[in-house]
Amino acid sequence: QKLRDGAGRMVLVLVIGDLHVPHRSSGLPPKFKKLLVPGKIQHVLCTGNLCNKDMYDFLKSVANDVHVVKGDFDENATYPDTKVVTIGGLKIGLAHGHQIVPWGDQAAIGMLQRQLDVDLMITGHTHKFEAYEVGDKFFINPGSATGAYSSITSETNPSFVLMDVQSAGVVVYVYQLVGEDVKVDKIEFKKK
Amino acid sequence: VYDLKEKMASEANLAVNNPLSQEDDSPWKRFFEDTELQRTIQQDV
Repeated sequence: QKLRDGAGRMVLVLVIGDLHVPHRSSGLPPKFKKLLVPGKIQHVLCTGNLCNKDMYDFLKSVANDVHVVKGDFDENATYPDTKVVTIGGLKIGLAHGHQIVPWGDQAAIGMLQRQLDVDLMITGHTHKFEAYEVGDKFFINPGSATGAYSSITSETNPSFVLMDVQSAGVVVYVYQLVGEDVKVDKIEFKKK
Repeated sequence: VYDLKEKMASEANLAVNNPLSQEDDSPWKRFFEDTELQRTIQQDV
């Protein structure tokens, strides 16, 4: 696999959410902010609970195309509950996840994935990073980018996900702040 | 031109070899710099 040329074939998608600013966190960790610079990323998919406009403006500075779904703490009524976005032939479903009970339950999320008829289902709410494959469908939870506490866990490592969408599948980069260091992991989903 | 071998060798080092890396020896940093340069050239031509 080769890095692609500048003819616009490189598609990077930021998956981020559950920021809970200003209620549970004062903002993104500075080490994450340093990584998320303009000019690299084409699309942002946000699982919600931003919760304020500053955070939305920040995402808008990272990429022009920003999609947000409504979290249980978002006051912006224009955010939809679920959203379907197609990027590079990949049909992606987006939902915050507080509506899906039991929270974070794979079977329940799978039901929503089938309802929306998507290849990749993205949810948040649990503040816990997840990436798994069921059959030929992919599931991602980017966790909380600020490491905000949740009703499920009191301690979470801040995390977000960056997807490199390719014709053969998706390469998922996971950025986690562990102590003072940004730890990067890579997971590849291949289309069958 | 990107050397595939070089990229594979650095595959293990994800701290450097990831799209958001700002390390000087990251192939991605070079990629974005080249893309920027190509864009500038296209604008100028």
